[in-house]
Amino acid sequence: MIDELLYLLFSAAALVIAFYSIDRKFVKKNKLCIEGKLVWTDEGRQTKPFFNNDYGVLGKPDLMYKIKGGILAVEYKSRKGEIYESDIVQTKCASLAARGSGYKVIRFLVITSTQKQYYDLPRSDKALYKEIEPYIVYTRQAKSGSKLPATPGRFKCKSCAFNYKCTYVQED
Amino acid sequence: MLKKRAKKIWVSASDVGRAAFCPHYLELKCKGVKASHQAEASRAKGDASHDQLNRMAQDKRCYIASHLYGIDDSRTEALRSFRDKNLLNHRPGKVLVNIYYRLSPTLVSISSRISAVDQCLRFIVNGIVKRLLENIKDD
Repeated sequence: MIDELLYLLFSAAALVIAFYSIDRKFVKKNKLCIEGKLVWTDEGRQTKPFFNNDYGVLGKPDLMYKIKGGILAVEYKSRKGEIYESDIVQTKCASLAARGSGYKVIRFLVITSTQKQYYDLPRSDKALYKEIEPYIVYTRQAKSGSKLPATPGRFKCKSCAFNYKCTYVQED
Repeated sequence: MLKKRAKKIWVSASDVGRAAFCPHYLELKCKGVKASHQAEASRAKGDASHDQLNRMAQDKRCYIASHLYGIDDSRTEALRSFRDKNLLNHRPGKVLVNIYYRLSPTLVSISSRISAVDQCLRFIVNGIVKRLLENIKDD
């Protein structure tokens, strides 16, 4: 009886070891777990952005996958923690730009090191533009040299690249 | 009279995102203010993470049916529907699906390299799909 039990245990251990050896040798796991075919990758500075001539926006998502009904855009943020409004606005704008180049982006995914969230996009480009229009207007104003309001916040100011020059900075 | 056309100001998605973060941030950036050293270091770290993301995304991982027939194929859909309607309703089914998800990437990877394994998998999955489709027809 004990012999059989030992034999069974030994066989199970051998199977587990064999499986993990094969697993490590053959599989490179996609930790993103996105069901879809990867159709576009941002390879860094050498990858040209997409242009949407109708709305004067340019940009590129980090990845694009072909999913049922269209394209899924992916925006990756290396930081830990929550997804901010600015991440969502940026990805919406990049999706609008990609639409201008023929990619029918219908959804997008924002990933941080600790969170992952899907968002649906409006069908029409106009509706999508409307959602981000105030920020596009701000950006155009900034480019023309206008003064813009500050929206300080304790955590935001802490992570801001210009906090050492800002007069509105909010400290602890 | 020829109307003078206003020059189009192109805006980038990253700048639009920055405007959502804080419009004054964007103002400072456009005025040429230099980013802090800490921010530069974070950017470099972010670039490295993006490279890692690209490597992760380009790794192949799909499940057996997607590998054999394609993601949107009707046979893959039939198997998905069987999983959702028949297997995920009870605990043993969920366990089975989890084991399948754990094993299938390895099987797919092996079968894409060894044609005999691929043929064997195809034979088994074809049989399952055939029975499933027959059941659907009967219903």
